[in-house]
Amino acid sequence: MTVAVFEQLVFIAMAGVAIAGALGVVAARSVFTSALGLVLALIGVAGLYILLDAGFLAVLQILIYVGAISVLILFAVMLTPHLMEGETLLNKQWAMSLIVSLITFGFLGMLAYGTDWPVAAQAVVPPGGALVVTGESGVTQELAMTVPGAMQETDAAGNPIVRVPGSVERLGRAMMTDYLLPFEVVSALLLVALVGAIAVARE
Amino acid sequence: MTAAFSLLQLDIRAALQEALAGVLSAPMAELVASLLFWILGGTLIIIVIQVGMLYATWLERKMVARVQDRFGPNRVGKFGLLQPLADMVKILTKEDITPERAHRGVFNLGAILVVPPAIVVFAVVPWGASHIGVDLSVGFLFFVAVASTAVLPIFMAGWGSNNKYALIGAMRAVAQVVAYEIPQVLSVVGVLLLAGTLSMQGLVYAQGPITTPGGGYPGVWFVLLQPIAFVIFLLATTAEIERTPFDVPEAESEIIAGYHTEYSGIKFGMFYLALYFATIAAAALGTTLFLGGWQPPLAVLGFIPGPIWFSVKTLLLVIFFMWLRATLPRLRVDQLMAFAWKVLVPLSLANLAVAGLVGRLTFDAHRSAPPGSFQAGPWFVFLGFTLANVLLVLLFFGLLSWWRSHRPAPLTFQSPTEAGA
Repeated sequence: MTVAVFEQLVFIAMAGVAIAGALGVVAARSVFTSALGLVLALIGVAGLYILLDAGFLAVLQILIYVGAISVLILFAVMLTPHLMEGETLLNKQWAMSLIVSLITFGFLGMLAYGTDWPVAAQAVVPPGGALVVTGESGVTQELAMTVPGAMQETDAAGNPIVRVPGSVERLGRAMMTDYLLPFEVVSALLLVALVGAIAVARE
Repeated sequence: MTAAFSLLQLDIRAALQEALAGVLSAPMAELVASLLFWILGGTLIIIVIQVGMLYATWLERKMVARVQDRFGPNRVGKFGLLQPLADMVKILTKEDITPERAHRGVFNLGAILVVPPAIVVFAVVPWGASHIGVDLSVGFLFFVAVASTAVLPIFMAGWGSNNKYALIGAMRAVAQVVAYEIPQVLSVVGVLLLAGTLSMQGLVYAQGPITTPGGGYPGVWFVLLQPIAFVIFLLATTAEIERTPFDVPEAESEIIAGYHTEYSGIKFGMFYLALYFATIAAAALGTTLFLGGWQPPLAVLGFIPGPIWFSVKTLLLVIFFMWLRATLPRLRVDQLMAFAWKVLVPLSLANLAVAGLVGRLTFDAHRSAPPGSFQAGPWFVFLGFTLANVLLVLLFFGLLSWWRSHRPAPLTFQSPTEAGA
């Protein structure tokens, strides 16, 4: 068994958790168990993020989606005790929705299968943080520069080095430089939603 | 003694990797060594916190008893030291009752899932320089995220029990945890800003002397620079783990036992276990963030290994939580929410602004100062922060008392039917 096989096993386990949770959401008879299935699916997706070395994203996924949004959904469900009794899963429109879902599924599948996913040769950034490429290691400096956020610098002795910051730092830099406007627009949107929610709740 | 000390300072993972390097290829040796280290370390942590939890219950009963002028447990063993074991046997042999109208699956799952989050957070707790499960680059956020999932099993318990007191308790618990999570994290952001890292080990190093990697700025324990944040953190954490005086979700005089009203036997034991695990975990987080982690308070005491320092500081914080419980009466549920939103959140925001401003100013002076000068040492940073903190406290509480004496009469709301009638 090699490291790659181990990674494959972890991927299968995490994808399994996500799919099982998603099936639970649509197949559960009570809304409360549906919401719990959603939590499971979100945790599975967080596991996939960890496998992709996106630890920050994974942790935020748990903090925001599992710790806050699912809690709010459950809070709303909890105020409806009559939903504890199972209701029927099918109604008159099941055939129509089956067709629409199948078409969407097929379309998305074709799209995913047909896309030529660019797998750029990239230097591997250690999850702990900054990687400094001096040219003496196996990674060439040209390769390291393909990582977004990599910076050409000189060390104390004046030799050229490439510094590749960790994922949190790269994300922070991107948000405060290249994507500052979208970032601010989203914050303003959220603020408006917040004020609106309070205004509606007070009436 | 010295042999035990040197054993505590050994880097177990590196030793394992070295031993395996002869048999396996390098990446496999690393993977297998890590897996072995995690299995061994995980087992050890579970044993340590389990024993710690048993004797925390003993200590708490003894302490509360002394405060109330009683003796506390003293029948089983010397000083009642075997009392926790007797309690454990009792709780394991009690009848396990599931209410007839409960949702059986959710009811049982709630009791099972309440413990894991309180154990998983120990994966990122730094007991010593090499005694940490994983030093994630987002370690602090990992801790908060995992701890925040602890409300889900509480929900499941409250809803699955099909009991109105359990439901009220669960709703109170969730409202409280969501409200106090905000000042808890906001108060810590100032610390993160100064340390410039989210890694738990990095946070410990930032509080250490300049000779350690990543050390130097600020170089003193964060409790000295951010005392306001420390107080907010302690209060918000007490509410997060639902200990007295913030234990309205299980206020026995109002709603029996809150969300675990219907649980008995070992299932009730799981909730009890989770409460004490969470207390120890919260104390460990406070130690890491504010009390210098596993670093000795003085450089001369460095011969005592890190895990011992860490345990001592954690124990002190656990005792503090118990002391609070013995001393203070429970808050009313509306006071509790008002305290979070109207006092702690604004104060932690103001504290964050101070941390950013003073941190920026002292950091620049600190970096440009020649080594050996006053500005390059930690006491310069400390003085700057103390000045700012005193000003902040005076200003905040001055404003608060001014507002209390000048606030308009409370608004009265009329329902539409009342207004029409």
